[in-house]
Amino acid sequence: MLLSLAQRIQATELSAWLAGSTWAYPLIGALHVLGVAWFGGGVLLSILCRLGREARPRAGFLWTGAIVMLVSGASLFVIEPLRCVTSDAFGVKLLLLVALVAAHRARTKVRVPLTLTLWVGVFLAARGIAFF
Amino acid sequence: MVALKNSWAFPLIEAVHVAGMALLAGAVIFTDVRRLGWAVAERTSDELDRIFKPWAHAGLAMLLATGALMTAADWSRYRRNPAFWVKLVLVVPALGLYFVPHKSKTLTIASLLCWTAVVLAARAIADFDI
Repeated sequence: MLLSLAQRIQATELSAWLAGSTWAYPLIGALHVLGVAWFGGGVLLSILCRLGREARPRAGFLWTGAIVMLVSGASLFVIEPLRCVTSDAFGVKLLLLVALVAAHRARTKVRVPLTLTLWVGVFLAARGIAFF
Repeated sequence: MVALKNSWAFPLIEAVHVAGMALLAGAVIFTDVRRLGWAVAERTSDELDRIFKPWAHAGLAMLLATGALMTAADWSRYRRNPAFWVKLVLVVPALGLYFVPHKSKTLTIASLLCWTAVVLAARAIADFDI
């Protein structure tokens, strides 16, 4: 099902246009990393520094970074959906992202170490997409 | 590096590099945007700077260690990569602005631009293998 969805996305004009463009992939890839620094950096720093409510980044600032990250991430998927769904690392990344969102919402004592571990896991799986 | 091509070692080193980038660039973006007067947090930029310092420095250490490792492991590739040299040249003013306390609007904007350009050039290394 995922495979046929990927095939259908790959067949769209948008995908062909983005994949055929010399600059789309480098630019969108770079935007994605910027979004990671902005949103991921903000979240990591507020977890690590255990910032009080007043020092935590305002939600608007964080979510702007998150939108940059999500839109560029989705665009990267549209460029090469088949390679993504056939990559083991991509599947691992998606599973870890679901776990990460759940962990951020959970109210347990191990929330901080758990979310930090998952963030590093997401980075690892994300870089792994280029290899596996 | 060819031997590492199909192992998790290389993505692992890259993941540590990305985590370090998130810590350092995240702290710089957050602090500089606050310094420009945007109400992204209640605390002042100087307070944020002080709170983030240990983690931003940890991020910098991660970046330098993994960066040196990757460069040394594949020097013949990097030395022919224009994006790598652009990044290296941009890292100098970016780090300079990070370590020198800056209050003026011009330097704060310069810092944000330098770090953005470093991240863009870093990502472009993968696209400029010639």
